Amino acid sequence: MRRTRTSEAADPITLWYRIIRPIARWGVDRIVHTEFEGLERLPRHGPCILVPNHLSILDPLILQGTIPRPVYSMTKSTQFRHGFFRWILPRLNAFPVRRYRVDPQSVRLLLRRLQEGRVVCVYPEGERSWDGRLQSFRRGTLRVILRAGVPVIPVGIRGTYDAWPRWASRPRRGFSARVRFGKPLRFGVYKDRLSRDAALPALERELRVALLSLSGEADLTPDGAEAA
Amino acid sequence: MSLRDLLYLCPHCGGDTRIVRETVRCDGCGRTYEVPAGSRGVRVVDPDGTATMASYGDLAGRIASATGASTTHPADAVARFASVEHPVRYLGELIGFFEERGPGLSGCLTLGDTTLRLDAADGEVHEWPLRDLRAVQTASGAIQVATRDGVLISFRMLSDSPRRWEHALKDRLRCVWRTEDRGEITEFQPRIRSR
Repeated sequence: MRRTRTSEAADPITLWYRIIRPIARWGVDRIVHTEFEGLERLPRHGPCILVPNHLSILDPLILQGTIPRPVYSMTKSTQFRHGFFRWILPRLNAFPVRRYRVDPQSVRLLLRRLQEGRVVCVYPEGERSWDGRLQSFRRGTLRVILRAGVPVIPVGIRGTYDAWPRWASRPRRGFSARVRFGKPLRFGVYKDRLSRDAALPALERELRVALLSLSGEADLTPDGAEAA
Repeated sequence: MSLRDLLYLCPHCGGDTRIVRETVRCDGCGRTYEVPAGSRGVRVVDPDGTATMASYGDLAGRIASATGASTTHPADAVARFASVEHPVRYLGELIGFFEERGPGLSGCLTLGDTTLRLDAADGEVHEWPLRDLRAVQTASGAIQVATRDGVLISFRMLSDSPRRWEHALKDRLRCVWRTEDRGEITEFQPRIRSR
C-alpha cells in the first residue's frame, strides 16, 4: 500500500508527498523568502477548506510545502495531460477539475475528502491573477463551500506576484512573500441549492473582505506602496 | 510570455504596444514600460524622459477602461481541439478526468461581430458562431473556448496577448447575448451563465 504512513493528525500521507514536500519548499525558498503568520489557526484534526488568493504558480508549492497536514488540491485538468504529471499529481493529493464545464466528479471527490476529515485547498478565483489584484470568485466554488459546511480558512498571500507573475516566463529572485492564515470561518450547511444561492452574496462578501485584509491588498495605495 | 501580455495597450493613450527587448513600448505616444530589477512595480518613462513608478493593478485597470480595450486584430495562433476525455485513477479510485488534445493547427485567428474564425495555414477555414460558445477561459499563453458540442478548443496566441483576446471575446459575447435577449452574462466559467 502506498498510503500507509500517517502524520500526527492521522492524515494518510503518501511517500511521494513526503519526498516532494521538502524539495518543493527548498526550490521555492531559492526564489522567494516566505514568512508565515497564523499557521496555528489550521485545525490539527478534522476537515477544513483552505481558501487562498492566487497570485502565482508558486502559491500551491508554498502552501503544500509548508502546511504540516497533507493538503488535497483541485488542479486544472490540463495539468494531467502529460504522462509524468498524471503519475505524480495524484501522489501529491491533486485531483483534476475541468474548468470549461461543470465537473460534478471533482465536487464529489472534494466532498468525499472532507468527509474523510482532510484538508482541501480551493482557489476561489479559479485562476491566477493577471495584475496582482484579487479577482471575482467562482460561484461554483462558493456553492461547494456552503454545501460542505466545514470550517473555511482564508489564506492571504502577498509577494509571490512580484516573484513570478502570470505573464512572466521565468521567476525573479530577491523578493519576499508573506502568507497569513485567517481565523476559521463557519458558514453552516446549506442542503438545497435555493438556500445556497441565497447565502452566496454574504459568503462572497465575507471571504473577499478576509482575503483583501489578509493579503494586505486593502492596504495598498494606487502606486503600489504600502499605506502608512 | 512577457509584460506585454498584461500591457497590451498603452495605459495612458490606449495605443497598441510592442515589446522591444524587455521593454513594452507604445507606438502611439512613445511611452515605455519596464520592470526594473527588484522592483514591485512598473517603471513608466514618458516621451520627455520623465520616469515614474506605477503598480501593475493601476495600469491594468486603466487598460480595462480604455477605448479599444476590447478590440483585436487578426493574430497568429495555434489551435488544438480536445473532444476526448480520459479518466484519472489513483489506487483504484476515480479522481477525475482530463482532456486529450489533438495536433496543433496553425493559422490566423479573427474575432468578428458574431463569429470566431481561424484561417488555417493549410487553407482550411474553421468558424465558430459566438452564440454557440459555452465557456471561455485563459491559460498560460492561450485562450480556450468550449463549444456547444462539448469540444474544448485551445488557441495558443503567437503574436498577441491572450489577455487582450480574453477581454475582447468576453465583451463580444456579452454583446451577442444582449442582442439575442439571452440576458446579461454573469459568468464565463465553467459555463456561460446569464440572468
